[in-house]
Amino acid sequence: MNPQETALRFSGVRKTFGQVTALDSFDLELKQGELVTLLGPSGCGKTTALRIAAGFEQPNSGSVFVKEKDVTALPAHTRNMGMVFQNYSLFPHMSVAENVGFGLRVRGVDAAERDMLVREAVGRVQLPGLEGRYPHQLSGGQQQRVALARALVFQPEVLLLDEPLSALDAKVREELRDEIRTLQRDAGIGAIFVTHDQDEALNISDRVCVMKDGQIQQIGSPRDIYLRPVNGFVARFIGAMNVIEVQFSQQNKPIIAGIELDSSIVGPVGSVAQILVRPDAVSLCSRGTSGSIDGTVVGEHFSGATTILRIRLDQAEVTISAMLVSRNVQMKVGDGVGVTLDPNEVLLDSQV
Amino acid sequence: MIRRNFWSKVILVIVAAFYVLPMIAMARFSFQRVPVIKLGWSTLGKNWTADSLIDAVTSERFLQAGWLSIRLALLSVVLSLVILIPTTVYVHVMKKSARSYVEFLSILPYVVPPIALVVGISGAMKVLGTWFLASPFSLVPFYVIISLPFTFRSLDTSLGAIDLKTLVEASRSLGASWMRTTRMVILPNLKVGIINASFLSFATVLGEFTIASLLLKFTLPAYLAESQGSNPQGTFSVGLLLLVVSSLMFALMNRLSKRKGHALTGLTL
Amino acid sequence: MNLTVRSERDSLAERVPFGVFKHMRSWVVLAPFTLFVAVFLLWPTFSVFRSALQPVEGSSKPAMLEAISGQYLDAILYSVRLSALTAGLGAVIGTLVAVSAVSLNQFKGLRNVLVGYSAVAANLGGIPLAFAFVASLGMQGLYTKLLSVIGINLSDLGFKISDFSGIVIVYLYFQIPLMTLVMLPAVDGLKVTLKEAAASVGATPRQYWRSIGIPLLSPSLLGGFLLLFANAFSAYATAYALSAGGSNLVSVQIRFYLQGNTITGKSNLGYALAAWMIVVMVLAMSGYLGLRRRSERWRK
Repeated sequence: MNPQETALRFSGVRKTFGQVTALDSFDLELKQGELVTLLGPSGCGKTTALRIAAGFEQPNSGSVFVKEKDVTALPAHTRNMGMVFQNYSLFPHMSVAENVGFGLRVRGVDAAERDMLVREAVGRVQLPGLEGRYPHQLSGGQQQRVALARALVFQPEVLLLDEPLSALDAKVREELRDEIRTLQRDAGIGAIFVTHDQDEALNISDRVCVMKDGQIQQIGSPRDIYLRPVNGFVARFIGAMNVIEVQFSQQNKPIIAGIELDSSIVGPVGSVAQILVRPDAVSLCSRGTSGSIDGTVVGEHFSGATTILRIRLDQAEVTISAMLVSRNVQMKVGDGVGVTLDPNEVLLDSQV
Repeated sequence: MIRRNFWSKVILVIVAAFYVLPMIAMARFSFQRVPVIKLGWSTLGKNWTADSLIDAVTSERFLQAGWLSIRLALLSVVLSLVILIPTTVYVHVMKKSARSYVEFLSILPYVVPPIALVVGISGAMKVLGTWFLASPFSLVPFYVIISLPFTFRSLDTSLGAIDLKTLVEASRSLGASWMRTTRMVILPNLKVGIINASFLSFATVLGEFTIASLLLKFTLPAYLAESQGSNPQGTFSVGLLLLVVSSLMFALMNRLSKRKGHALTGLTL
Repeated sequence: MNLTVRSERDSLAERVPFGVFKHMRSWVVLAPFTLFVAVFLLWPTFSVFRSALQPVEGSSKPAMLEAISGQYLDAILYSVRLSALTAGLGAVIGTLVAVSAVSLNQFKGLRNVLVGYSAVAANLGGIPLAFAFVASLGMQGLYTKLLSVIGINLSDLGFKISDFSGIVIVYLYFQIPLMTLVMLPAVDGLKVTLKEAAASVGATPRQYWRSIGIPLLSPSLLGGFLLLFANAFSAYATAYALSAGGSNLVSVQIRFYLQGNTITGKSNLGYALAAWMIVVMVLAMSGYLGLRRRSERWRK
């Protein structure tokens, strides 16, 4: 499989349910071997897009291409895509081996070869020896692994994952998340992963597609999405953001608590706006350092490797969160500090 | 998809008709004094009267049978509850392991059809002497037995809907006395089950014919069988009344239990 | 830590007993219930079998063996045929109703009405039901007359409400809703996602039904059939009323043997038939419960 080849492409896909527009001019290209995550709040259209790719919904307009072949009109069972569901959807009356082998059976693969492929697939998802078990005898994580094996065993063109980790416990979720990524990479298969959990998205994706109300907000690498969100929605949806009200100075630059910010953001003199800055782009120094804003530590939230300090600015009605590596934290609640914001990391808020 | 919907509707309409038509025929027979042979478009609206029903329900035999049936039904309900409430509360609150044992006993009556039970009764009870079977109230324990599967299931489901054992322990550890706990924790949860069990039991007893008839007790169904020949219209109208009353009882019971979030599938087994 | 909590709970359970239950063992509390069932159910049942295993006068064979030979066997087979037929027809139609209701699930409330109605109809039976059908399809029946108006003469066709075919139709009245109640949860269990999962691995709709849909439904289908069979087999009142006591069904015949034959001393045959009824019921009901357990396991 050529890594540069397009595995799946959405072209101008639009879907409405009655009065509601679930997807609007959805364009996305998935390359072979790439994992793209569709990320967004409920109702943003991510699941609809996935289901259209799978063939369970028909778009009102637009097309879906698999390796440049138009599959929009094809029924789901002819599309040769592997799919993993949120609730596993294993066939309850079949054993693990029968579940995994079902896709091979309907493709006419003979029993001996099926056996071998099933055994191999079950081994790859770390469940060797469990071929004879039944779904109700397995834990959630094990069931999802079987579902993965079932989806991958017949070497589909594309892998579709519909919130596969949402029904699992936190610990299992993390383990399986990494395994899914490994399996997908090893198989060199293109995959679309739907989730509302941004940690998952940032962790495993090659690219993330952030969606809201049926429209794509931003597509980019996890780094880009996090560090360079293109609008207020993406900025707020991913990670945490400080929201600070500022006024623009005579030089059209934003002023916070009397300190002018030397960033690229400009605005009309005297007008008011909101700026966004990540907690990890906030630095602390001693109170009174030139260029820093005076404030007092009013809260501390320790999370192991990192700590968030809440700082109340002396001269403005705002409390800022600063994320620091715990080892480097020397201030306590009640201490006075100076706050500086990295000017390159400040964004102008634009509500979508 | 649309084609499937069409056939689905057709099936449901046909089945619905199957259910309603016999009732209509029964009502027409009971309340219209026009023999079927003479029935035609011209006579369709004539001679509708509730006389036969009124005659029947005011008759001596009906009142006798009805009064007995009602007393039997009430006694059966009471006896069922008296025996089952402590038992089910016990297995839910104190000894959950005993629940399967009680459940097993409660479904045993299913394997003994009433007709088989009643022949066994005549044989077995002879030993006790004839005094027992002579009284019509001897039917009561057997009625409790045949309603056992549903009465147990009703109480069991309503108690099982929440983790009663933990609630009772919580209540006790908060200092509530046994009386209080029973009143405020156990009984409210039992209420729905008691209502269901009572309705089911009552309706069952009202309609029970097999045992009553073979033990020669004169209950409502026995009245129906007896007066069929002498007063067909009246008897049929009473039968219809019985059906309507039973149906209303079941329907009411369903509505009540659904509102309390007590989703009975309706299947009592 | 865990142990402490456990023993606290246990001692609470020990101190728990309510007034009179204090210090009682569980078998004592359960004794009244057990005793009640023993006296009013087990004892008569035992008595049935005891009489059934004794020989009929004038023969050396136990009555139960006698009962399955010759003319007596006819009654049993007649009942079996009737039960199987109503169970089969009821199973098919009841399943169709359940499937129809589930596929029309966009009509909210339809399902509830259906369940409520079926719960009522499944328990209707006996004499009033027989009356209703006599009024419909009997000699003087309303629909008998209607059908003759459009040219279908029931009595010419040999149909009588008191015969086999008549009883079948009447029994269907409560068999169909019973099957509907059994199948509704089973059809529900065939979640849409299973169909989608099957399609996602490449199964055509036919392959889905053959390998997944039908196999998942079959325990409920078979179990429902057995339940309906048991239900029909044990029915007495309806058939009695329709046939005025003359039906060839086992249940009705038992009465005949007991009331008619006490003089001739063949009453043990009546007991024997009753005993065989119980045996059939035990088999049918165990089958039903076992199958239901399996389908519930899958529905987890």
